[in-house]
Amino acid sequence: MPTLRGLLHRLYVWIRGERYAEEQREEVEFHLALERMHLQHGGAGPSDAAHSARRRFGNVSFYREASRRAAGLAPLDRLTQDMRYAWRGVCRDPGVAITVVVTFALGVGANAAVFSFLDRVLFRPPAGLADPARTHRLYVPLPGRGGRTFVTDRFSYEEYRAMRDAAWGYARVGATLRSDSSSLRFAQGEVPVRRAFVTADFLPLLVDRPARGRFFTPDEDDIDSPAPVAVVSHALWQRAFGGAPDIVDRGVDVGGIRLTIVGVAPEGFTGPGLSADDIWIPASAAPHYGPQREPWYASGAVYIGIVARVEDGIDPRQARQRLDQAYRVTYDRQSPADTLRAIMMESIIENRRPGARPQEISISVRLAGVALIVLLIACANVANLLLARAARRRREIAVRLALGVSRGRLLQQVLTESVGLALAGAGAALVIAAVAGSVLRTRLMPRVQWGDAVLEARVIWFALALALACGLLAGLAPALTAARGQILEALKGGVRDGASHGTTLRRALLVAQAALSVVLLVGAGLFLRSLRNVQAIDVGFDADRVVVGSVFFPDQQPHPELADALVDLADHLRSAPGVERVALSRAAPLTMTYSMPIAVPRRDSAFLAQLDVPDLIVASPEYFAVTGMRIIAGRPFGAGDREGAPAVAIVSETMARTLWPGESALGKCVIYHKPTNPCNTIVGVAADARQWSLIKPPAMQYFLPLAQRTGPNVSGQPRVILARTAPGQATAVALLMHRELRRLLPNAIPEVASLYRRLEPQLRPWRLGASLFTVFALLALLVAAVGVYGVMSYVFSQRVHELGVRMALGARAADVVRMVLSSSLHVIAAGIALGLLGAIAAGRLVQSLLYGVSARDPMTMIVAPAVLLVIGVAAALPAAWRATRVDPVAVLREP
Amino acid sequence: MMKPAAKRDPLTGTLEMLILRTLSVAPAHGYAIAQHIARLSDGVFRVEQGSLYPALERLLQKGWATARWGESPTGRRARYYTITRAGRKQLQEKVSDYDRVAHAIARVLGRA
Repeated sequence: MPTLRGLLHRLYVWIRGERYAEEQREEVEFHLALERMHLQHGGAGPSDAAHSARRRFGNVSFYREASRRAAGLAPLDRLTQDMRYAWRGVCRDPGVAITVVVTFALGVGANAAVFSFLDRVLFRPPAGLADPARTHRLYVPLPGRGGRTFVTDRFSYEEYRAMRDAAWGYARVGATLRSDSSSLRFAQGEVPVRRAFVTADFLPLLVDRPARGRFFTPDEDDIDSPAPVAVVSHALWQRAFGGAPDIVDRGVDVGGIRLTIVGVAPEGFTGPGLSADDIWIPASAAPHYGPQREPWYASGAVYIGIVARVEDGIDPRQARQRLDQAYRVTYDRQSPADTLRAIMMESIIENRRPGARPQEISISVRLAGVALIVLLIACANVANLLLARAARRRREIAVRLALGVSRGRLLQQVLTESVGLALAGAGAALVIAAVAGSVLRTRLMPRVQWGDAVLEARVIWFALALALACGLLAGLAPALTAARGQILEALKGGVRDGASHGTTLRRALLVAQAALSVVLLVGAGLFLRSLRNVQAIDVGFDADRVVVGSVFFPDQQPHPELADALVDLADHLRSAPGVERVALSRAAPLTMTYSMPIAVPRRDSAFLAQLDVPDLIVASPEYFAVTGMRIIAGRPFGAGDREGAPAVAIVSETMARTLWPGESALGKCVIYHKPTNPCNTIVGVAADARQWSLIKPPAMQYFLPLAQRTGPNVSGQPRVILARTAPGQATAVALLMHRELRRLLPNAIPEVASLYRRLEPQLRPWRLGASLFTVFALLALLVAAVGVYGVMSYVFSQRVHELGVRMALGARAADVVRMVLSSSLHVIAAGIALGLLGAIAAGRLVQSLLYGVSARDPMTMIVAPAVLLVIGVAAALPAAWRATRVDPVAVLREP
Repeated sequence: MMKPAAKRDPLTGTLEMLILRTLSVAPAHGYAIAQHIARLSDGVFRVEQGSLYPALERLLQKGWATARWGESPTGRRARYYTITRAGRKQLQEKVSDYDRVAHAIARVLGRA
């Protein structure tokens, strides 16, 4: 190991460069002079002495080189030399260089963009945590419908307190309510912020200490007497307050809550989630949540997420056990029979949650594979271009070898060139990654408020490392070919020779490109088909023509005036322009719903119990006409179905089929809620409609008339107003409805949207999958087409002479075209065969992301290769066309 | 890192050892070092200049010696080499290695 002093010396030598060599020369001169003097004193003549000294000293320049080699500088010298050589090569052939750089940039850029996204959402722990490895999120599996389990990260306040107290000494436990968007008003103005409601133990657990001031005290987080205090993020402190040193004790207003700032969180920390939180407020001050608007800490209300940090020196398994025991104690009081529930202590990274992950994550993980394929295609392409060029330089290389350049040196030279080009590509790739990465972020997760930049140190390193690897990979084949070159043969062969050299390797690379392109095209085809299938789903209502309005009262009090207001509004809307019909109800698709158990005479209650609890929709008679839900048997509700008239019900198709298989449901009886309630006679069967999920099979639904629900304990008060609009009028009607709700109910916050607006987010993942895969497949196709074009042009240029001879001997243009095309067709056909095998093998990786189409869909398997075939032939056509224009006379006259 | 002393080839770095030993007496320029070694070894070791300067460069790189330009008695600029603390430590190790090997050889030859 050299010491620090030694390293400094090397640096010195490197920096001084030629001047250091000068110093060494001077030193040698001095040595020689002394030696001459010495020899003279010994009796030899002056010229004799100089000669002898020089002889004894040996070859000065050899010595100098040896000394530089000893200084460890030879590799650096060689590198400079190689880079100069590479630069000359680039200047001689800028077209190839630009193509290579662009290809690398696309390939590496696509990967860096996907990596930056995945790294942010899946790999990298939230910024600023004191000890991310020992910090965890807690989850618990719950029994779900149909015997399956699902995993939740929401807990009750009671459970949180029990776990926090029990884990004392083993793990610190903190809780957070969800964070939301709000606005911060202060002396200097107003800025949008994300506020998070957290318990007092939350911030110290995650980040240890504030940058300024203090965090909350437990007293301030007492649910009986919440304190109006807040901690702001370092970023907000800088952004809104300009980093003012007197930030502590300033008063602000956040979404209507007056607060005093008591501290600033450490720099970089923006909460444990993906969205950047700006301000933290004690959970005790949080408004109430949920459809019932009960306090978040109410018994049984599960709104809080829990984080735990295992104490130093404690085995995480032990800590988990403590948490689990405490959780069980609170839970056993409610349902002792349940053995499934066991606390899971998982990564703090939100998207590493156990159980089902969001579809966006699944898509982006697949996308990483797709990006890698694009990169492989790009590498194959570059290797091909460089190979073609190496073949053109064959004679030059042979001459260099003949002059004694070592093969290792030659290898190094070619690799330097390809790596240099790749690194240049990496620069462009970072620009692409910055743009594409932010597109990915906003498209894949539009709700997340990203607080950081896409290009981050890890992404930059990733891009550089990837470019380096690609440069080596793509340069390897040309380098080895060059180094293996047969000197004599190449020197003997004329300019015309060489058509067949290295073509096998180039063809193999083309086949690989074609195969990988087929895989991507098949993928894109599958996603497009699955998008079409999703779009073709009959949701059972006319989403784009129905506007739904409801309200939310911030004061959480019952508001009997709501029903009257909605009835007034309905009257008003009926005569409004663009409105065709209006209905009132207590539930609407994608808006609100509740499930209500039923009893059915002569049906086993055990049979009913194993079914999902059906959705109940209490609605006015116009409900069906407004939503466009079809009545397939019997009749809809009418004006006669009122208080005092026989109690009626309408059931959905699925419910009718499930409860009375093979029979007509009309005239049957369904009992609402409790078996002691009176019978509702079924007068109609409605076609199935989706309630919440677009792709889940429809659930059982039953409808009761609003007018018959006026008895005690049952509410006939409407909560939702629905309007059917004329085509294209949905937005105007929504605006009108919003304005009217505001006017009629000044204390309420209206929530108005067309059903399509509410459905749209569910279509998004499918659109995304289709569009992202298509973009990548097109990218791959483009790169592969460039490859086919490049290789075909090259092969053509190598065969010009041969073609000229053939034409001179009587070959017609058609023959020549056939010759050129058939060579590209062979390559593409081989690629398609391999690609289809690959696509079938990779199919199961994407099957879970498809809807209504098999990963081995025959249609896609035919169309995708056909596309490639067309593109491939098109890319070979210019070469074929040029082949027909070969002038035999000119070619034959060439030396 | 340093390998165990016993496993090292005893003869590598002999020249370096001789140079370091010379420098441990006093700083010297290249020619003086060569002269010193030749004189003390009664002309057995004639240090080839072609290996002397690369060896000195190696010492600089390992940080066992430093060099600076100074004036020689003849008035010309000369590069003087000085041993460093790391160099002294290294010399000590090399000498003790050498002793062990010399002793071992002597014993094998039946002279000890």
